[in-house]
Amino acid sequence: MTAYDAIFWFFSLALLLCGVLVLISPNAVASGLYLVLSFFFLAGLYVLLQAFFLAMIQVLVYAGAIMVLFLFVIMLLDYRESRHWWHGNLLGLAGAPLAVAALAAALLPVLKRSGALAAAPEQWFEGTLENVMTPVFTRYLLPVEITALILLAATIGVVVLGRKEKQP
Amino acid sequence: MEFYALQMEIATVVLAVIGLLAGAFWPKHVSLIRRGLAEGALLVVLASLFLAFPQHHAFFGDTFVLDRFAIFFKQILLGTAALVLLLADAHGPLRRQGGAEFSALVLLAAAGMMLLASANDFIFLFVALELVTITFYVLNSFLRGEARALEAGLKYLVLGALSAGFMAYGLAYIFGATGSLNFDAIHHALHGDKLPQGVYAFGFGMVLLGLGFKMAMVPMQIWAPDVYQGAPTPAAAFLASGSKIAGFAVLLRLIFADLLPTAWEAQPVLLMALAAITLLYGAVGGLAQTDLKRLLGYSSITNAGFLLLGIAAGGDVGHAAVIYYLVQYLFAVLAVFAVLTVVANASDTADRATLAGLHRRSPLLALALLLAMLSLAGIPPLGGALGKFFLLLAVLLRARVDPAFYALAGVAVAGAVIALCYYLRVLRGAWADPAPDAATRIVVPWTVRVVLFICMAGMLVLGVWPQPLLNWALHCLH
Repeated sequence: MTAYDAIFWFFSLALLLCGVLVLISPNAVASGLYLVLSFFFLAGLYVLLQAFFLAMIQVLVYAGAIMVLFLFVIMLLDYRESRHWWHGNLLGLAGAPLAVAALAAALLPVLKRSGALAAAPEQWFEGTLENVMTPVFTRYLLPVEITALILLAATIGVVVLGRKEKQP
Repeated sequence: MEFYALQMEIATVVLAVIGLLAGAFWPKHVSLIRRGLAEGALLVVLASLFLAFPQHHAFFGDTFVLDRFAIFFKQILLGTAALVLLLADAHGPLRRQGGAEFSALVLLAAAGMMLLASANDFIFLFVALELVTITFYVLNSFLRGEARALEAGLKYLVLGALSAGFMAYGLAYIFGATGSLNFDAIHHALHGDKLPQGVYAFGFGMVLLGLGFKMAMVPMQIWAPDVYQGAPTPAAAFLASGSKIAGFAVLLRLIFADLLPTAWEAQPVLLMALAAITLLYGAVGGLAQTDLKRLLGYSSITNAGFLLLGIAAGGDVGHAAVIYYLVQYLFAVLAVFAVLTVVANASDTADRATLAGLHRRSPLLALALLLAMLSLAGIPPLGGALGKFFLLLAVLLRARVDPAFYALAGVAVAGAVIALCYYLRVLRGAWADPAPDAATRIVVPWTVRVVLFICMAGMLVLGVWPQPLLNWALHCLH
């Protein structure tokens, strides 16, 4: 076993462990924190695949932004009801194999062709910042600028819908 | 300088930002600011008629095109926004809420729609579409004190997110099938032999669903009656006019770029079925409505069905008919919403009783409502009659080579007759029902007067003198 393999197994197993802990931990906040942790391990796997940009985005966007939002919502709702994860959740138990089967059906064709991907030229796999950002600042410059307008509209919306009612 | 091509959009966004800042600094003069924004938007439209546009050029790495079609729709859409701003200034609940944010958001949505008219790349299209959708989330729930407005906003939010999801999913399939998201590149890929046609058609169908949300097309029509009823009347007016026009402009753009899956062009069974179902759904659903704004929601669905007739029939006649129908529909629907803005000012609901005896309380409003309803119903000599006539003509021309279109024409006529019933029922409420005792004369603000006169003139002129617009529409196509 090389060092590469060792690191891969460490990240994979830790990822799976975190996934299970997300499901079974009785506290919703703890579940959310385990999910953040699992994102970090997933980012580690991306680094092993030399997809550095994806790894960085994974940490920044998912762990940094989306999950923090999740945690805020959980804490805001003050959701304290704790119960065992399997309790009365028959529908979930029935749905899990279905979801796994659907995922397998989607992944199998890809895995079958993994040999062809291995023979593909090297530059396909370059997930560097340069490759991602060049289109953003050349070809897709205008769409990026328009997202600024979207953010402006969203900000106005939040202010309008969220401000306190004026006292008449 | 490439940004020269964006002059109309930049002017619109600058207006929106100026309005926002002015509203924050001079909250006492908000009404003046709102009217100023409307006039500014009208000025931009007027100026654009005389400005030189760099034509038939692709900009920003081929993501943005500026041809006659795009410029025409930009002018129409910004003009619509200006009229909606005038309505917003006369709308009681919005005035009471204060602030210039509503006007700024309308202008931002207009900027998104104008960008949509120029889209030449699916990423650009998606981003511009989201600008419109996100702005409308806020516009629809703007009167957040009212449960109905919140319901409208929530329904629009959930279904809008769903339709955006459909669209992104479809884009992934299109990219997978063709290896590009640029319209020109996809067009080239479509004529190669290695394209998986089924995958591409599925992706395009998903994109059509995403656009269908904007156009109120079955099966993405379910929000229309609820949102039209709950949203502030000017926001609903903009949804019915601007948002629908932008959706159809994008669909036409996709067709002009020759992106329809090849199987659909030869055998447009799906488009025909969508047109027929949308038409009948709106016509039948509208029969049972008592609230006028809900009725307009169903009317909007029926009209989407009519417009899809022209899309399904295709050809120069079909596409020109769609453009003509869009413009005349804009005048009719804005006139109805202008009447509602004034009549239902206090309660913001509009059942038949609110309209009772309108011809005594305000002859101008009653006349505008009469013309608009007759135009929507397709009675000559108004624009709506010719619009329906041109669409049917396109369908019948296509039927000469494809007899299935005769059935579609039959469905269209049946739908038009059913819809006629409910339009006339509204008129009976306004002209025949006696006014309630407590009713007083309605004072029509000058802003609404301007909108009404523009709309009535538009309906009448288009009804008796359609050649200029038709010629211009055909001119746009080439």
